Amino acid sequence: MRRRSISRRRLLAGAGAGGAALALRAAFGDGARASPLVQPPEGISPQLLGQLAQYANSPLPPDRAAQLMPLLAEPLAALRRLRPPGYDDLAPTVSFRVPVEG
Amino acid sequence: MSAQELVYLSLREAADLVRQRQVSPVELLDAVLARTEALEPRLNVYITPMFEQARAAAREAEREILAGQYRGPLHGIPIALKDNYWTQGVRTTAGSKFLAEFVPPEDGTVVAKLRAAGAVITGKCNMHELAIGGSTTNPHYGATHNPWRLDRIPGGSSGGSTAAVAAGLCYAATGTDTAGSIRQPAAYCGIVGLKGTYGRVSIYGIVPLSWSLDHAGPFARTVEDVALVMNTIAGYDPKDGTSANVPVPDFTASLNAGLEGLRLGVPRAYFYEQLDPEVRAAVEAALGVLRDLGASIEEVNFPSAPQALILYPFLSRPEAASFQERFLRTRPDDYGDVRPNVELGELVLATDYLRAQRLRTAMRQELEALLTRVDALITPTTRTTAHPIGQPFTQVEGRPITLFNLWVGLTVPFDLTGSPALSVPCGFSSEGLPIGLQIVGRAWDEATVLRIGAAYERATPWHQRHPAL
Repeated sequence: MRRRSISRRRLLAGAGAGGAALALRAAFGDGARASPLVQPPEGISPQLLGQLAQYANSPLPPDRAAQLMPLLAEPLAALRRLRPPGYDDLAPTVSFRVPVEG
Repeated sequence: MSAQELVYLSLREAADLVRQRQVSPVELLDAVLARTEALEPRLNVYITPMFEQARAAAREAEREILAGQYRGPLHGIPIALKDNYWTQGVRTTAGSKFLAEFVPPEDGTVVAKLRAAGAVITGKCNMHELAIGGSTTNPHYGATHNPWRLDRIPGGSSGGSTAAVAAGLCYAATGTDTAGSIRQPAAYCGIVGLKGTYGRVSIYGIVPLSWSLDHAGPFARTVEDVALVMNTIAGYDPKDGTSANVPVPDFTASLNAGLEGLRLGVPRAYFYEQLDPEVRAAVEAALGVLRDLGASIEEVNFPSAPQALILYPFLSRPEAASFQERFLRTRPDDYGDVRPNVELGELVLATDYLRAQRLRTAMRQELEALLTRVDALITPTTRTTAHPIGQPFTQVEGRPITLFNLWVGLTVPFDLTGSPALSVPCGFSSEGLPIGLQIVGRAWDEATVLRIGAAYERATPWHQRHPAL
């Protein structure tokens, strides 16, 4: 059975004003440092997870979104609260190596 | 020599006897297989035994050695593999239903190196489903039991391998460590386990869990024995995109160098909090031994270490979901209890994954700076001893604890930093369960980690105890 898809625009719209705030704060630089640049994801709901699963084309049964939500929401809030000094200068740790032979 | 004495020789001792032709590889294998036959119904170590292939390999090793073609210390030595290591022609399940019939077309690099060294592969060991967990209570292949107390877990995810080594069913084994799956089961089973620096041992031909975190490494009953296996399996592998092209030392070279002049850091915050009192007592006693051996003990701080508990799910889950995408799409009901981890991995935004990878860089930098002031860190490997099968502890020292923190809270920071880390036995609880000591070193400095472990081992009797099976 084909699952109903969701557009990226609709998904992002569902994320609320946080995304716009992030863009603005990023544009205005360190002036926003005193407060977290990214708000804790208080708006996460089973419905949103269901939409995200649709966007990801993930076979997530509707009832499972509610079960998974607590496993994601609190850790995500904790992750987004982390912002040590120098964060903006950090490059990601990645497993990537250009072979010598090119 | 009794059968019990034969199976509990160290790998080095067995290798010396084989080299001197006082014991043949066939005799070694017969001894461990007889013991396996007697104990396997109680332990459930193997998913796929390879006993017939092992007998053929032992006969071949015997023939070569008698012909003067001795290959080195692993020649003719029975060694078991975690069942996520590819073995040509022998199924490799990774503890999953999805791969129950998967027969790899070739050996992975570590397996190929072990075979080239003449090792006798005894079989493929049970593990936590897809390596996503720390108990080896596998929904498809059954629970592996801890040889020290059969009602306890052996740890995981490499629990079949560690149970096999502890029970005298082989002289060494392989494992993988993404959050602690080498060091935690080594601690729970009272043996030695080494996770080398990320990139030190090839992960080509190992069923992945999380590419940026997966490490491969050895188990054995002594520090020297894991060093001997590392000498064979370490090294650059062009087939593995994460493999590092750095010089490989002789890992046995500095085992007898002692501890004089070494500075050992003790990160009390986080690593010495929320511990079982018997674990705390054993590790404090171990610090005393290290001090008596000539090391200076300094209190240090690794403030970002607890963040590993937060970062890990956002690193490992998306990577696992990427590899397992086909499983989740086509056979979601074939998962056991690890399915939510993979489902959640599909719902992590790329920006959050990269946020975790950037914060991981900060952790690495912080530890790197700390390890300019001390030569190694000393911590407990786990917060408690092994818990009863199916009944994980939910509190430690009267405070609630998550399953993840219980299993790998003290090991996972060093997967994120990619540091070499060793677990050695450092005592037993009043219930007779082993306790592990973790030694963490600078990147590429496995030699110092092994040196510290060897000095501690020489000064203590723990590695000489064996489970009464």
